[in-house]
Amino acid sequence: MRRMGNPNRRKEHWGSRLGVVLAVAGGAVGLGNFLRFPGQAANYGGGAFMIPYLFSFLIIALPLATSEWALGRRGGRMGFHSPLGIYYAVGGKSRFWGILGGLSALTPLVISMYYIFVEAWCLVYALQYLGGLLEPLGLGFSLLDGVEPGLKLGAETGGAEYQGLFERFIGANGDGSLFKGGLSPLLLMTLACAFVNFYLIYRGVSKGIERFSKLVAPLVLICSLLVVGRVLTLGNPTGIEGQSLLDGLGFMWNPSRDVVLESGEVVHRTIWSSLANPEVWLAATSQIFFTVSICLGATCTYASYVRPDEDIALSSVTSTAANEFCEVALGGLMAIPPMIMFLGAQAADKFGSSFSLGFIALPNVFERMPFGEFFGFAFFTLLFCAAITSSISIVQPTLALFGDSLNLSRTACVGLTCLVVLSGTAFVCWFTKDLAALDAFDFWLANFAPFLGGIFQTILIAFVWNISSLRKELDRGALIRLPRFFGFVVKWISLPYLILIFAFWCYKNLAERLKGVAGSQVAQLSLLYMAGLAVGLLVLSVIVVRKWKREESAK
Amino acid sequence: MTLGGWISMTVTLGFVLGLFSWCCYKMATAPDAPDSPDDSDDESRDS
Repeated sequence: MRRMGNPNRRKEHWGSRLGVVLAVAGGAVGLGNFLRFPGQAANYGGGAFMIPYLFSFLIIALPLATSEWALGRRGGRMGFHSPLGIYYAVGGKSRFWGILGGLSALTPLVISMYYIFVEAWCLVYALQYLGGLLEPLGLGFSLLDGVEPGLKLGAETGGAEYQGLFERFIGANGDGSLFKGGLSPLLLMTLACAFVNFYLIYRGVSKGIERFSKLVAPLVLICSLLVVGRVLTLGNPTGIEGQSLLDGLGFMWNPSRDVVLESGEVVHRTIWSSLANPEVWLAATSQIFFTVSICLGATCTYASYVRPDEDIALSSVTSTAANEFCEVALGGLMAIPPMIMFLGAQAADKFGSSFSLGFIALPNVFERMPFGEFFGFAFFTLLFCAAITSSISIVQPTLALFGDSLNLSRTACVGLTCLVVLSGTAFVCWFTKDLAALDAFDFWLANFAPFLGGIFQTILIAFVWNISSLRKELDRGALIRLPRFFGFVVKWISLPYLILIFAFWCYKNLAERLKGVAGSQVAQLSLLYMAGLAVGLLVLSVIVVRKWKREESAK
Repeated sequence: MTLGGWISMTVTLGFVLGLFSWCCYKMATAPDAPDSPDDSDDESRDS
């Protein structure tokens, strides 16, 4: 079969095997690894949570991530790099799969819109700590002066200040508050982050993304090890009983514990009662599903740039393992234990969400920690680096979509992608009251849509493309042989399990969320905005698939 | 930290560290990929 896709585009490939592994792992390692995972593990049974977590890793993360790599490279060999083109090509030139692929590009597009904003939070916090570190040299500065005059993170401000500081900083007290009195430092940093993202994407996969990933990966590792090393050498910093290092680690890893219910009653939850609770399985599977960033379009887009005879079997397992290493070995040690050591076990209820843990609880901890400014700087630099490699990976599918479907130059594709993404970022930056727009985008496109996309993608791989083609693709240039039962697992275990978990997830979350949408204008506006984008993608997909069909029949 | 906590931490960290180390070892000792010309990527190579 002839190559398809955009004939005006120069063929791009990754420069090295290590480069693509670091880029995919960098795309997967994000705030979720360092903030969401520890919170979920601690809230859902600690050590008991790890059993369904590892089970889901083996039957969901590894099989689906590896399959997505194969899907992506197959599409890349046929000249496509976007989910639209890849689904169309691998789905036997079917209109249905092409259009579905086009619609699936909505997920990375919308996530990238708010991820750039969150990335800017990390950058501002990192610079804030850097300003404090430079103060003795007379070079100190504060980006939060406009938010809270004279306040510096790491200064003796008292813990209660951090919540208010964070809310004012992100504009959670009113829509449009970030735009009052000119551009706030946060908005300037958001623009700076967007510029870096689009510059790297403009440079291309090898010269931009790959080089940057090779530079940033060691930095993430160094910063993580610095923070973990500090946490593990703290002993009992407050001298309060129940707040030592071992208590912190125990809170994170003990499989049985006493839990205080909302009614105030204390119950002893054993490992067996946690495992019998379906919510623990749902939380663990959702966490593993989201952390590996499967079915977001990023992995298959990146894999489409792998050379035809290069290994993907070992590369996919390595990038997944690297992500797990960052999540469990680093994320599992650096966030919850120090929070328990400095703020006590009751803080876990108060700072349960990722943002509260990262931007309220941990700055509180760094303030009380010896050399806290330095470790605060290391921690937020780590978060920023993890976030920027993730945001680059989720912008890439949109760029590839325009590249595959419109006959545009690279510069025009980057410009168009930038325009679309920044329009959504502006929407999120305006509707900051209680982060309602960000929350709506996150719920529908980072939680709901990937499950749905994952189910369709696995059906495409297992039943349309079929398992023997998948195996053939994985064996091409493979450095390791995957077990023979791999295909069976994808088709008959991963897919039904994913459907089951999705059904349970909908049962647990949808009704409450829909009630919330009815009562919030911003949530409705956000849904409308996403629906508008979906219609745009649908129209584009229909036109492009029709054009490809015509070209095929003309040959 | 209870005995169960130590066991779950050791087993989980051991698993992810072991898997990641094995992958790093395989990556480091793998031969370089053969240079493939760009026009070699047609479907006929599958068969």
